[in-house]
Amino acid sequence: MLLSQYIFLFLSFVAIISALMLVLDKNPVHSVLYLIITFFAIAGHYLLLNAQFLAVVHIIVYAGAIMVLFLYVIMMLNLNKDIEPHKKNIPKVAAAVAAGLLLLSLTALVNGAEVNMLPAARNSNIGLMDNLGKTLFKEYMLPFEISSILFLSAMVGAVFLSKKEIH
Amino acid sequence: MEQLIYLIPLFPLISFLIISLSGSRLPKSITTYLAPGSIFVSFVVALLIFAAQISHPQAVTVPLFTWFKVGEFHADFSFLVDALSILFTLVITGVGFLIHVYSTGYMHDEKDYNRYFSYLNLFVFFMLLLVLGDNFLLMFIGWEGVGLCSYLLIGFWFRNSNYASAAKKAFVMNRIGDFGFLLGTILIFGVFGSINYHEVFAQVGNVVVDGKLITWITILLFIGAVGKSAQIPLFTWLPDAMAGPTPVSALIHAATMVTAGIYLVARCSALFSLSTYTMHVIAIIGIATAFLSATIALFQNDIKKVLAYSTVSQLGLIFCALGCGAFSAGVFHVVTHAFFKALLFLGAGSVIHGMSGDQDIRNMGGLRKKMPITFYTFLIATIAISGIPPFAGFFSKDQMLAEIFAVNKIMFVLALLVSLMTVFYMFRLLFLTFYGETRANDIVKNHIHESPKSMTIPLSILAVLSVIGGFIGFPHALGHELHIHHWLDGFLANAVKPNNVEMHLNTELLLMAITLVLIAVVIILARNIFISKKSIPQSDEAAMPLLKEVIYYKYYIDEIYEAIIVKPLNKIAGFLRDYIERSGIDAVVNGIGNSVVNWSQLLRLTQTGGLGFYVGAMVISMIVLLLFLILKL
Amino acid sequence: MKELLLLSGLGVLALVAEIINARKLIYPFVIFGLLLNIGLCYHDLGSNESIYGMLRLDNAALAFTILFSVIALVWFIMAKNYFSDETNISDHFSLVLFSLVGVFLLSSYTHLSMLFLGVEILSIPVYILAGSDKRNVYSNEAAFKYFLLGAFASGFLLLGIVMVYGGVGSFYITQIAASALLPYGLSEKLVAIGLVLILFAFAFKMSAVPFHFWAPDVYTGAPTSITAYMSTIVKIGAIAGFYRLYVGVVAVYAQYDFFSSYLLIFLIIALLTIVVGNVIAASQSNVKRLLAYSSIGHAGFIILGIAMISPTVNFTTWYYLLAYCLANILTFWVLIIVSKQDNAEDISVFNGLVKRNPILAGTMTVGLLSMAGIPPLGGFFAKYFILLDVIGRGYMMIAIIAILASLIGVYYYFRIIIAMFAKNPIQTATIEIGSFTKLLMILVSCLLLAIGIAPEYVYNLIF
Repeated sequence: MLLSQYIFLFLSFVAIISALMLVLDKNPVHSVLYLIITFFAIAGHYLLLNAQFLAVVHIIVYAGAIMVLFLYVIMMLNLNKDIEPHKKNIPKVAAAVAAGLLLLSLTALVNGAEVNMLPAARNSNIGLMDNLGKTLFKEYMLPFEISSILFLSAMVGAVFLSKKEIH
Repeated sequence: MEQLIYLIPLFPLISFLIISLSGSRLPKSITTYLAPGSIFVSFVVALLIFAAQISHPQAVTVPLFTWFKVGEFHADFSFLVDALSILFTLVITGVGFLIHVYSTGYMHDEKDYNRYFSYLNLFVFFMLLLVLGDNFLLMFIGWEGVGLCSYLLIGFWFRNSNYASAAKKAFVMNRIGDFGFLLGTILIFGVFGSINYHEVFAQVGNVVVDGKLITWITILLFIGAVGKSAQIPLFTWLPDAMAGPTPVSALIHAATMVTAGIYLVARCSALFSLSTYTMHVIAIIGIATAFLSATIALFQNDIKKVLAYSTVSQLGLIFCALGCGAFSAGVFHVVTHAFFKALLFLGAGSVIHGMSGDQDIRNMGGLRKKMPITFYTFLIATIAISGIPPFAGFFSKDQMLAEIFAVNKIMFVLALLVSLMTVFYMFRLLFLTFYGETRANDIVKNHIHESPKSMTIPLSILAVLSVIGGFIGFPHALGHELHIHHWLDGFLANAVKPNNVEMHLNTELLLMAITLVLIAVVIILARNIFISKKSIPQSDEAAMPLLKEVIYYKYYIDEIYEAIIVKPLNKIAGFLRDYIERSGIDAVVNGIGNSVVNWSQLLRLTQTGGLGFYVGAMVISMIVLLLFLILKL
Repeated sequence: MKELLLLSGLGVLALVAEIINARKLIYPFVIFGLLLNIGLCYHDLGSNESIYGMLRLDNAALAFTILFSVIALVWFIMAKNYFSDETNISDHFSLVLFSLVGVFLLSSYTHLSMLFLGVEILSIPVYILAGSDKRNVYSNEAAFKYFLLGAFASGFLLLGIVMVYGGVGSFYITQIAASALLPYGLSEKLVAIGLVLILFAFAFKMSAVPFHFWAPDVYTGAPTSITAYMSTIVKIGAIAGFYRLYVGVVAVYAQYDFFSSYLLIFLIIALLTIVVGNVIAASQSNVKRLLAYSSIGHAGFIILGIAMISPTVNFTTWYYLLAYCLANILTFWVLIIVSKQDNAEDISVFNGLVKRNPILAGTMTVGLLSMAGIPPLGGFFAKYFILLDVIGRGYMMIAIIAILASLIGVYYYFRIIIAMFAKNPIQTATIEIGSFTKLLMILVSCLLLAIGIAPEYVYNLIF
């Protein structure tokens, strides 16, 4: 086994465990911290895939900006205690069973699928900054522009929801 | 001229539409002129066409449009003008017009004046459709239409539940007959491939059709006639139908609708005469009905009931004549009967009007002086129905009796008895009503008055017709001797199968003489009882001899029907309702409905509102759906 | 391209109008813009324009665009009250207009990235619109539920897209479809699982059973105008997206084994949708909720029609949507007016409506009768065409079940009709409506009748 494969397994393990802890921990501040760990693990995956730009952006945007925002909200609303009401275990078990079954059926389906390396996907330098930029502004010009509509509408929505109503 | 035939039913229809659509908004004064006026215009058109038919007797088909067409089957909306239909049309519009005029007086204070006239106009329209249509389907429409109008008019005062149930009875009994008619029509189409009179009758002449089928067809058609013309066993509705306004009884239940059965048999005389079996059935049922209802009429005390049973009896006599092949004589009697029976009913209406609504002859008497016009016209009608020459009834009844005599002597004796009973009960009615002392209480007595002109003028015109109407059919043997042509037989020769009975002059004269002597004896007898002895029928509570009681209570036929048909039917219906329908069909239908709602209530429980449940349910169902895919991959 | 620029331009214009204080101009501009859009689409019919290879304005795409533009036009007029509040008028407008861009993308995408963007652009503004009645707790609940479940569905959508990409190595649906015919380089399993996940996400957006749970709660909680919007235009978008993928890609895989289970899965979904939607609707007493369930039932019919992939599937789907949306918008229109008057949404508010305003009662009746599938209204032929395809494919039992389920529909639609005509009004005050509203209501009712009388004319007009 190659070193990269060990790293892959390690990162995956960290990502999954911390994601699980994110869901299971009752303290919101802890959950946020686990989320940051998950993001770092995923950024590590990007690096393995030779996509340094994506890894950096991921850390800056998610671990940096979004996480800070989350923490602000939690602290401003003073949610740093175990205030989540205690829930019964049956729904949790049911949720776990359902999710497990879904995982099982999806893996059963994907199991043994031969993954083809098509020419476009074989370019290992796609994650590099200049390649990404060229692709984004040439081939993916339209989606890139149209995402602006998505963000614009999301922004308008956020403003609208937070606006005080005058009556 | 015949092409104008469509105008005849058109006017009553237009009048009906105007009156019924405008409802009570239309002022009475307009209805008073519109309703009779429309019939009068139709009558004038009918007269013109009649004149054309006299000069050129011919059968003319006037097609209007093809109603519908399914495969070989086509129903045309077209009229047939020939001697038979135009004769009936004349009677319907003529007598109908007089009765409309009479009604304007009789119904003058009625609240639903417009409703009454709209029904009456609709009735005339359907009746005209019945006699003018050139195929069985059109006749059936008219047949059903007049039944409907009869139902509506019998139950005109529907707030009285007795009247409403009388209407229902008439409708149900008619429906039984109608079903036979409909089956007959279907069978005709099956056998002949057409329902057009011409096409059917032409095949009867040329192609040999299985006799049994003809018998079936004619029997089925006759069942229709039995229902409509109130013969045994479906006759009990007609006396009850007297619940309607008296002019309605005169028009529908004496002069026109009840003769529809006779029209049917006469129209299909070519078909009926092929089946000797059916002819026997018709004759026997006819004479039996005539005899039975004549005996009932002997003891009735309700002026309209007497006339109703008399109508049934006369219709029975006509059917007997038809069964003996005397089609033309039967039609002849229909015409004269329409005159004098309408007159009798209208006279009775006038009497009831004068008696402030009382119909019991035991309370009448002595009306001769107070209502002279009514009395004289009623007298004329009584003489006419009794068959005393030279009044109308004599000619037609004599012709029927003679032709029955030629076919079957026993039937003749019975028919003679029937006509003698007719004489007795009619004179009984006349004497009890108009002679002697008034037996009514003082309030009624002081109120007795002659009816208004709108009622007496139609009476007078009908009286004239009752006197002279018979001359359109002068007796054959006698006429031959006197060189007087039997006009009606000649006129009808193309439309109705003629009777080829040859009778010797002496035989006919002998029969006439015997009949007249017997009639005279009966009249004297009646005079003896009701004028000389002044005997008044006893009240209902008094004891009666058994036979009289049985007859007085109309042979308990209604009760027998109640016991052997209505009650068992109700029981069966009750059983069907309780066990088959309610716990069977209803339960299934309601069960489906309820189960949908129950399922609905159950399924909506899945809409818990909880997000966790939603996500879980979605994931689980996604897994189930994915299983289908896993099995294939 | 013009249509895309026009629609997104209108959305931006609505925002600009807020800045330059020209809010009154938005309404006429939007109406004019939509009319222009209909005209442009009609003009472009047959042009088959490709936009950067990622969108293709083929006739089906243009037909769906014309459809949603027409419905949006009626909707904007209907929902005039919704835009009466000065403080957030431009937010409302821009959100609705942006979501129209999403519908447009879903009607015309040829690239899976556009598919995803379309779904998101359509959904995110609608999440917010569902919660736009900020003081109403039900509205907030609706927005929250819709958002969470929608995000869940988006997750599956992305997972599906990734798997398809892994299987084929391309996002272009033409290439995905073409690889079905050249098995070289194709991972059948990944494509099969990927496509079915995408289709499930669409099933969620179309509110097909068993992914429908959000719909009744969201439809009931959202402001009625937005419910009307969601049950018509959002539905058009979801169905257009589903249609493009199913007919353009999935159907090409008919030679593969897994396709038969696809057919099975979608027949089950369609039948469940028809049956469950109609059955639950039968016991609803809140008209808004009733219409929500009935709209679920209608989605089932459309899925059934698409699953048949008959040669005329484009027309049958489009026609069903047209008839359904026209009827639905009519019923919601009347519901808005009536429920605003009485401040309730129960069936009983319709009691004796004919005495209070015969035009409203007549319009409502036309709409309900069409949805119930009574000839000669459009709704009858819409169902008829689809059932014809179903029977043509030999699925007699399915056709019978679908017919029986729509008979249940007749039951609950007639409950409203009976309430309007046979019952005595609770409130006797007559309802006044403007003459323009009256005119347009009658016009749309007539249109519903006209498309029912001459479906072949509609066919010739568009296809």
